[in-house]
Amino acid sequence: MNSIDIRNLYKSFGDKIVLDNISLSVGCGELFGLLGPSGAGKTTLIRVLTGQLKYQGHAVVLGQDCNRMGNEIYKNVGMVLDNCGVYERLSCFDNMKLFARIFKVDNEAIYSVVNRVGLSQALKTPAGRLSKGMKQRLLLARAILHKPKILFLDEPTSGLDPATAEEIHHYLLELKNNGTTIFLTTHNMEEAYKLCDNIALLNEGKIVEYGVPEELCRKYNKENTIEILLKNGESVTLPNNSGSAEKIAAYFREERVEAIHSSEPNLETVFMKLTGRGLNL
Amino acid sequence: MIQINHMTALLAKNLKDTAKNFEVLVLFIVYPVICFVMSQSMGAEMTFFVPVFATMHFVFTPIVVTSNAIAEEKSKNTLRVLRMSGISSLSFFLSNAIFVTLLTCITGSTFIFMSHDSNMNVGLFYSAAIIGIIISMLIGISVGSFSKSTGAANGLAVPLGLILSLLPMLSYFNEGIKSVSRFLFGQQVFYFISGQSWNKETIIVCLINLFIVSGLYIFLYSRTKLDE
Repeated sequence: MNSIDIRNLYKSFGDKIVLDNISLSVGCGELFGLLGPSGAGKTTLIRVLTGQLKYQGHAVVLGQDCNRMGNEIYKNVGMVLDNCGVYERLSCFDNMKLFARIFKVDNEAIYSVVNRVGLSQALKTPAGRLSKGMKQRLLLARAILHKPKILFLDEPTSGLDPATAEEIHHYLLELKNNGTTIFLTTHNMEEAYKLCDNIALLNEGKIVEYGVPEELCRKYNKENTIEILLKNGESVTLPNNSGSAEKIAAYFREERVEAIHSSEPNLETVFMKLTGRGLNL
Repeated sequence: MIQINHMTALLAKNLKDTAKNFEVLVLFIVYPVICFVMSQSMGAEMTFFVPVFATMHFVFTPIVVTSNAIAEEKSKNTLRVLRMSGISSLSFFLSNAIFVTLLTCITGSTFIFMSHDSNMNVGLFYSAAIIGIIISMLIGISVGSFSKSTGAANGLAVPLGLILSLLPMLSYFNEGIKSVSRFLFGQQVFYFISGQSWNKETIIVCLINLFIVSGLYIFLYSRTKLDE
């Protein structure tokens, strides 16, 4: 059974169609990435799947229709969304304690989760005084406190320093390995490539491509070239085949090579090929 | 569906949050403190001042505190988080209502000691308090639900609270105001605290007021949901 099943999903705000005939599935224990530029509809889809927005079509999370989500499902769902706030006057511990009481979780679980996300030194700090990175850790800690079966993350590392982002990546992989299904939206293609089992590329409300990141990159590696930067600053591009072997060998023999690269399209270039625009727009 | 652990979690949160929120904390003690200062300087007038300030305490404070709390939960996106943690609207409403009612009644109890009236009917005093608090809270929730920010909520709640809580005092001096004010729950709260017993007019006025603000709350709540 899949954790998420979406078929022919439509969502519009007035005349503007934001999600247009979306269909996809996310299996149990899968780390799924939804990639797209700002305004593509990523956050809208996550809001539909968390029961915040009504829609037309079929969307089921953990066997429950998203248009009729009851309160019970939230015991199995965790989320870090940009529209999730914290109680700024309360300390990190008190923020966690509130949700520990709601989900009937003991204090040991709070300490364990807070320690794991590296927030144990800030337990007594009011949440309003935390840096953006620390606040993001608090949101993540709160989202996983009750060991949800599925975790929705909307741009979880957006605006964070690389070290914090790396720590969060490690933790997400750990959660995935423990069986948590993770639905991640991002416009960071490196993050998606590194973490996700499957990704979907979303553009103007439509899924333009779906699959395993490595396979998608290989699928769109049509150019298959080798680029050589010579010591005199000249750049030479050659086809990646046996016909170029002699020329490349000659450059090496003459010790003229400064750098050499094969063309390996990343998700950014895949997206550009499909839509004509980048992911970071 | 109400769950006890949800209610206790929200009550504990409200207690800690209010203890750290000086602006709201002041609202719970400002009228008892002013009344105490007055009682020290002009003890003979307390039969007038206690009902006036107690009415202000039981009408103004719940309106402003509740509207501020709801608007803040909305603007900081914590209400959404509670909703997506399985907290029902009823649990949220009741826990806030219990918290505001208890704190307002506890701080408002000081008026009993300040009244110097040994014949004061304590049951009547608390029934006035609870009627005032419940209707005022519904007004506060409506204002908070309607407002986009705490600033906007306060901008609406403070004048509304002042009008509703000051009218009983003004009606003491002006018959024209009294003819209007007697149809408002604040005036009935004032009569109760002044020692008047239940009568048909009091019950009808309070019920109509409760009915109107409940309708207003339901209308604004459904409008907010549709906007969402």
